[in-house]
Amino acid sequence: MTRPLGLERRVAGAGVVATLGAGLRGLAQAACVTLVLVVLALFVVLAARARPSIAAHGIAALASTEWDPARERFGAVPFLVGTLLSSLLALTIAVPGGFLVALYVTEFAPRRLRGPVASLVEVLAAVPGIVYGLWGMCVLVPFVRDVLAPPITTRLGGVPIFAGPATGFGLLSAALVLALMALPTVAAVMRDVISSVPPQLREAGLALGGTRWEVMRHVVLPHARAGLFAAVMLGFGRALGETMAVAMVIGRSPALTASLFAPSHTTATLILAELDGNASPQHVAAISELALVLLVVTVAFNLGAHGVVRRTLRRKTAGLSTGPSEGELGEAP
Amino acid sequence: MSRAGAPPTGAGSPPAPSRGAALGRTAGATDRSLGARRREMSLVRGISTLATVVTVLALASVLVSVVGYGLRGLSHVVGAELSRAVAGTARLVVVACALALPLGLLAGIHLAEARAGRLVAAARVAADALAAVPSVVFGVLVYGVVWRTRTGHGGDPSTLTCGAALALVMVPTVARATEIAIRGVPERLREAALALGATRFHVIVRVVMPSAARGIATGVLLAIARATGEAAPLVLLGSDASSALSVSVYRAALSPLPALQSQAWGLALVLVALVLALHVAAWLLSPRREEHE
Repeated sequence: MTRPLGLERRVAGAGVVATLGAGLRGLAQAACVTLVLVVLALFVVLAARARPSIAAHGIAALASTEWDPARERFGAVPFLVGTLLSSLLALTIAVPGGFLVALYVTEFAPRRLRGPVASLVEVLAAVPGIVYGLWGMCVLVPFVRDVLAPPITTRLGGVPIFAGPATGFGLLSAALVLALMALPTVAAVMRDVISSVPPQLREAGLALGGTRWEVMRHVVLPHARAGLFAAVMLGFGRALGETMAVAMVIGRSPALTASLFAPSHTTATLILAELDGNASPQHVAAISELALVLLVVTVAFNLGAHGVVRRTLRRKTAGLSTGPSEGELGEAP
Repeated sequence: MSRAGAPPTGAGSPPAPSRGAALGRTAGATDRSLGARRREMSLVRGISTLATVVTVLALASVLVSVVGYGLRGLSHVVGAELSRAVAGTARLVVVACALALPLGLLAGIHLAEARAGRLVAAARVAADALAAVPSVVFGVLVYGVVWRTRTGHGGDPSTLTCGAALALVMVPTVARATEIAIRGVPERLREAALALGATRFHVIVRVVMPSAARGIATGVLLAIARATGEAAPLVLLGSDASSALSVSVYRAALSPLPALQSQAWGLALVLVALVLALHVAAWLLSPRREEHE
């Protein structure tokens, strides 16, 4: 008990401590203000950079399909479509996949397997996008080109979305890489959400004679709905903005095509590919406008998802003390 | 009891009978034979097992490729280049930490300690928004700012420029981890310190921060791991291979030469090892781990 908090040294200088306290509070406040200013700066700087493009072509330019920087044509439709299609396609794989993996791990897996499967999934959530890109380029692209695509393009080549030839680089490969990247995160968040459902509910359902699937379907899932929704939105937000992995497998072509096997581009990969020292001022402005669109969409999406989760949680916490905390849902590491 | 409550869609407060009715009604459970219900359940079990096997195989393929091709590729990696790239990453991470840690820690303290108000609400929305922004957009922001100050562009971007972009990636993670860790500090510790006559400053610096330290350190390590793997803003800003490990993977992978592609795998193995080491360190420090033990 000699110096429990090291206070007695400072008792004499209480004024100093008060000053330090005020200083810390001031600094902490300043940090919060800076955080807000950084977000505002994002919007302001991108809008300022994009202004020549908005002034010259208006928002309508985004609605054109022709992208030809040399002739100052800046139609963004191919990239917006590419972003949307690749992300949606990825989610149609990753969401059911992630849900089934979470279901297996929480309900069906033998106890011995639960740990290893969960750790593998967690390890892969940590692998950087650039490594997924490298894997996509060297393993997935040849697989799509030589194994997956040939039977489809030869038999269904007449259908526009399956038209060949397939080089392996294209929308489908991008979606598959995105799906694989999103899967660990979606599965991990869903597993947390499912296992945070109070055991009393589950036990009550089982005691009434429900099978484990019936209890899952009618008791656990309705209870976990907000969390599951958040997991999906998180995955979608990430997929919209993922750059490196997609850039390495999508083939980077600004032409708008219907085929899953044709090279394509997304907003993020276009920014990466074309914003450099060689771009003309109009070109830079057009790219900044696209970046602004990407920024607005991803932020709106994420804040919307947070809002829905917060509202549902508030409604739910009226009846139940347990449930997914906001911190858990906020961000998957 | 009210604790057993009902999910939002559930029937209502008297739990047992109405829940049974709801389960029976919606599932049609009572109408169908036990055999049919069992078959449904084994079907679901089969599908989820299959999905897990496929997922595990695909994910394992990523790991096996990184290790397999990586070990073979390591022989193509020139030691000097590798150490330059690793040193570049270390330099960038140090700069990013110098910018992101004070900002993230202080903002996290304020979010956890300050009374709810307009600034706290705005800062929380800002942190959520920053966490959602694709890293390539941070690159565009930094590019836009730098482009304004140096009208001529091109050439190698400075360490500060790239570090600033990485700092933006780190800030929301650090701020949120700090907030959650501080909120987790038991109220009785604060009260005890206040009862001993400590000021708010002393409570934060001597009591709250030390007990939240492990949680904060976990968050900081995870943020560093993310910054280490991040390549998009650096490539956008025109960094060359020697400026960061992640960029060197990208530049080598895009080369048409097989030797360089093999080198990319070697560099990727080193990158993954670094990132996973940071995650393991974060896991070892994590306060959650002790609860499990």
